[in-house]
Amino acid sequence: MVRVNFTPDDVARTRFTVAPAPLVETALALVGLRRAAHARGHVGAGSWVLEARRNFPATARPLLDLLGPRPPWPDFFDSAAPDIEQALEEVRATPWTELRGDLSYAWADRPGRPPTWVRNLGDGDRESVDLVVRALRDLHKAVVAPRWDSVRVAFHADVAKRIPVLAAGGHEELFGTLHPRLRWRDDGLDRAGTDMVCDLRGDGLVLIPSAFWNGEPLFSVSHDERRPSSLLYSAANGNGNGHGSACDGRLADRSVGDGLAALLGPTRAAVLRALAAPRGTVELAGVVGISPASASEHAKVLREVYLIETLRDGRAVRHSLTALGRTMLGQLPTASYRGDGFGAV
Amino acid sequence: MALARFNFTAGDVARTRFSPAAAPVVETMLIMAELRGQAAGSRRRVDRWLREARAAFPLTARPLLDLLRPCMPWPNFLDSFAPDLKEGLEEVRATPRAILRSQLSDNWELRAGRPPTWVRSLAEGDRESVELVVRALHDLHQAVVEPRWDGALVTFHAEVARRMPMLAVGGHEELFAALHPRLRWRENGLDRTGFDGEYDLHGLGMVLMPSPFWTGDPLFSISDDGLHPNVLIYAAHPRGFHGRPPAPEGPTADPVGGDSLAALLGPTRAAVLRALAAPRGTCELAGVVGISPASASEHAKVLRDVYLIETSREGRVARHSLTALGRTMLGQLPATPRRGTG
Repeated sequence: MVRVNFTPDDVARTRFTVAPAPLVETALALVGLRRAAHARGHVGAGSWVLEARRNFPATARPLLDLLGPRPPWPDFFDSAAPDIEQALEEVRATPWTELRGDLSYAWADRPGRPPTWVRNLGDGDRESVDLVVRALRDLHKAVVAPRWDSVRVAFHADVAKRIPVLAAGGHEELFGTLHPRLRWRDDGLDRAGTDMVCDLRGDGLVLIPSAFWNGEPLFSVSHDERRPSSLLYSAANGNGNGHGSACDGRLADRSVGDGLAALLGPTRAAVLRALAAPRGTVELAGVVGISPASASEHAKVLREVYLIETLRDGRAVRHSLTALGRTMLGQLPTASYRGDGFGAV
Repeated sequence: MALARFNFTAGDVARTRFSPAAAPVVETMLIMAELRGQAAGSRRRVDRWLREARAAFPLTARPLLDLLRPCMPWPNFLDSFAPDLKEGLEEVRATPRAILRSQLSDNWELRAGRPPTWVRSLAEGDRESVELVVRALHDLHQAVVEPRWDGALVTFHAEVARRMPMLAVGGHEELFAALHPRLRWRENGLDRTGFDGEYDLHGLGMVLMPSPFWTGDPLFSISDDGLHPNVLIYAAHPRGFHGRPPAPEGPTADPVGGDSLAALLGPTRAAVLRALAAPRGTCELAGVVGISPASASEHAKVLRDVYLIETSREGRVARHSLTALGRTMLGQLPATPRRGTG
């Protein structure tokens, strides 16, 4: 059993990450491919695995030396950056000598010595670092980027599904429903399997729904102040049964955008999407390409069901998405909410 | 500076959650407090609905004026958080005599003079006096709360919908700071400025209860027996109750799920969404809404594609139900904790 002990501060600081991380998804896609090969099971038609095998770039092969089918994996894949180039920049800036332990860890369950290039990587050799960066970039481009819309939809749909559970049942209920192997008990979280006890350091746990991962929940308990501890779990159907993942075909052709147009009509859906950035009525009308009177009418309908809110600023009004509106579009707020709503008391 | 401190264990934070609904008995009590605040001139502004509530104050509710001194704290046995009035009054009625006696005598120590005869009888558990209190709550509720309840529920659910994403991306620490300037998470517990005290939550966590009617500082009802929940009551809207959803120019008092939803989705699709507050098969859904099964199936598909509903299959039969997002759209939280649905 893995036991993660929380202080009260840790629970109060436990939160969802705000967007899927391309580098993490890339690493997990590779692990998923390895696991599919090991399992020798049937891979269903429409599975992303079939397409990924076909498109697997030769330049990504060095990653097979770094990412085994089971954890632990080196820390540098953990970048939460929402942009792949930014994440690769972080990989390039990794102090590799600190990762030497990690790298031999990754090799631990295999026979023989790590290949020369991996040992060089542990010495911070630039060419080896570039090899890793190129492998990740090419794998991302071939396997992850074509499915990124599905990844985002799966991510936001998962968070939208979890939020009310958290609100109505607290973290105890949330953890109890994330995965059958997870359970809140006393002042901490238990995961069945593998004996290990970890303590969080007071800065909480970041919850990461992953579209490519369909295995058991993964803990990454950080000892580095710059990196938060995290719990990654399958956004698929949340059951982690190893059959399929959220990136499989049936989701690939499904996008929130078109669904919204079918639900609200194309114009009103465009109005809602345009308000991802706050706008006045005239600006809104210009962006969507309708008259100000029509924009005002659409805004009224959306406001009355709390999808948007309208603030008056002198004689002008400003429309913006509410929390519910953002959830509907599959977005979480990124700004801090501290101190909104109430005036001085 | 006066500071109340609420110590949380990790389990207490993990069990901190929003109340699934507003509580009629508590809201009745809070309107009493607003009326008293108005009489004492401590309320910054008096809204029309409050003047109307004052005019509608029933004679039979006057015993509450004896029982509740002009400012809090008030005896705890009146804090019933049941979502239904009848159930809430039943809880008040069932208060054991020992609790009545201790809470009334504790509370009277804060006041001058002797309690009136009927309050002394109440402290002895006299049934007639208990019924007097229950009737007073009931009649005050009918006169001032009930006519505004639809608007109150909308305010409540809109507030919860607004806070949920904050909780998700900022954790409880961010949430508490956003709820009210007097609240702050600090080193494994919650600070509330304005009065003194130190409280433990006994592993029960804390229920967050936005009040549609209350405009004052956050209030706490802390369990002293481990049987009742710990509750934090705060103003759902900083300017208080408006008798309608807090929108700048929304003239209607329609709850979400009323006409405004029909204006958004069209009347039929809105009816389909509302009908799925209870899970249904396609044919049943069609029957309830009064459309053909083919049309019901088509509407279900559109709603499913944007995650407002989900469809599970049992053999050849499809069953549609609201997703969390769908419930939020209708302003509802999951009514009962659902384990193992992940």
